[in-house]
Amino acid sequence: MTDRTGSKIARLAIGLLHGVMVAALAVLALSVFTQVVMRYALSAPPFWTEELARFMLIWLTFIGIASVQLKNEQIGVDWIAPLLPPGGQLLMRVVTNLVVLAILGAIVWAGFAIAALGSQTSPALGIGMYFIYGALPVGAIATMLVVLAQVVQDIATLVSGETSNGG
Amino acid sequence: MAVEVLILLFFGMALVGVPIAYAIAGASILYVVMTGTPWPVVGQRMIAGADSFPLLAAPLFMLAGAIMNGGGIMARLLRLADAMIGHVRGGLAQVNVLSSLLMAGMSGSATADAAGQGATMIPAMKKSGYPAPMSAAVTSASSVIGPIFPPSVPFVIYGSVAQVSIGQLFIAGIVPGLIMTGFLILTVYVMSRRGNYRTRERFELGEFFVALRHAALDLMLPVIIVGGIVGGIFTPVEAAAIAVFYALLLEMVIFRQLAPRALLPIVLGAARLTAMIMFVIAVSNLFGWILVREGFGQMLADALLSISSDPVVLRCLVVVLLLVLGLLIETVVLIVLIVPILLTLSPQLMMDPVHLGVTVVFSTMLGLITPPVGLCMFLVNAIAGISVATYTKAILPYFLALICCAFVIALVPPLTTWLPQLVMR
Repeated sequence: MTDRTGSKIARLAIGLLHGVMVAALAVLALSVFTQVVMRYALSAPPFWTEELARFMLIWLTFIGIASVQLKNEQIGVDWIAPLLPPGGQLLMRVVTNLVVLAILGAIVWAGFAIAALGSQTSPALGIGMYFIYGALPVGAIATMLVVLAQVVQDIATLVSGETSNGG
Repeated sequence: MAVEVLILLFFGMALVGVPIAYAIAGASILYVVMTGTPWPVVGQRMIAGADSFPLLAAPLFMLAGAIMNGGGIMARLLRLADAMIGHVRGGLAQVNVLSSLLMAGMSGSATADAAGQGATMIPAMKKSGYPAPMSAAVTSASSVIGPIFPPSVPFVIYGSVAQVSIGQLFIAGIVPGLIMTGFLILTVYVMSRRGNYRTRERFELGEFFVALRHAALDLMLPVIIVGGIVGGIFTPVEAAAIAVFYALLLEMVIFRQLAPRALLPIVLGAARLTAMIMFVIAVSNLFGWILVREGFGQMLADALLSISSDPVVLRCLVVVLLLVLGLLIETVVLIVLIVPILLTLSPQLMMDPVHLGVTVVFSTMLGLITPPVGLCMFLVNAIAGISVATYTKAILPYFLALICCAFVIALVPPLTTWLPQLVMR
């Protein structure tokens, strides 16, 4: 039962993540489009479109890396792994994922350090810069959760796989 | 900490399979820790890397390209290309090259073109008797026209890193895009002399006009983008947003080739691709800041200048350096890291930033179609069902043609500088 509720929560979280990403890109496109239309329709272009679009890109970038991790679509070189047996490949994935986890941990820390400095408000929209800088730690934490789940799953496969191959 | 250690760390992590973005971030963070650099720099440089108005054009052009790939634009452009060049020796292979040029006017990335064209052209070429390796090679070689002919995502990235007008870069890419199309058409012509490949019987004016009418609304898009930027009606970022809504209008309202239900996965795919590329740019901004701080650019500049101070030799060296690095390093990473360094060399190279940009993007893009890390290569190999070894043999003549092109563009500045100077005053 706990397993089932666990996967339900995971599905909900992934749905939320992807919903936020689609919304961010849609708002980005709409605000730039609004900017052109309004500039020609009204004499004064709106003041908020550029800033809103930039903030959407920042959020999309750092939230989106969780989804990239989920789909294993990161840019990387794959030279050594194919030379290893399946078990070795899995082990190597666990090791590289642990390295990624450590780096993400440092990014979370760095993200909080920069967010703590964001006490001023943005010039056009007047929102606290914590909300913008916050994208970095929030995105990195979300990605850490994905990596952790992958590591746990890989170790489980590794343990069960070795017992079945050992015979 | 010496800069050599930083670079070794990066390559070490990348080699054992840590994704490039994390290898860059990891090496940079270790540098910051070891040298006692103020910690907020890490977050600040990363956010600054993702926070740029000109860069907004990149996700928007990628979104527009994804919408068009999901709709019926490819079929309409293929019909037009077939009517124009299908009767020439090499038939469908020529159609493949020409439709890449047409598609390049709508989308701005080579990988999107390789995926979109590969899915239709490779099966079609195989069915008409072309060998699978040749079908894959022509598709991947011609996909590189995408980022050279406007619009172009790599030019957007270069322009925002080098602080050069993206509009000028777009216009500067027109002549090189046409030249490489010509080189590829010639190569296909020569390579098709032995095979007995089926071609259209002859050129038919009637079919040409019918195909042109069907594709007319699609062909308006590059006219709107380039015309709007040249005329100062809108910025490249705004042009990209217009491209998104124009593509939606075409595929969902006028031609009704894209169901509303199919739109969501397309937007999500473009959003994920954006995050993938932007995260690399964000961490490279930190890494690049360290390289500049450590004087790495000057070191590389001195090394190049010690070989020669003649601008022609230097330009050739830069192209060779980019071709070699392009074989090993992903193109976006390479552009973001190397451009600040090369800009310090631009007086000795006697290249203005626009000419340098076209040369850099052209040379690095060739890494997309070569082993071991070429993304376009992997895409077309998967579609054609061939191995890297078979592909490598087949791509060679097209790769050599494109290398010749790279040297021509690097050594003859008017090819890139004449048109922007003519139309943008």
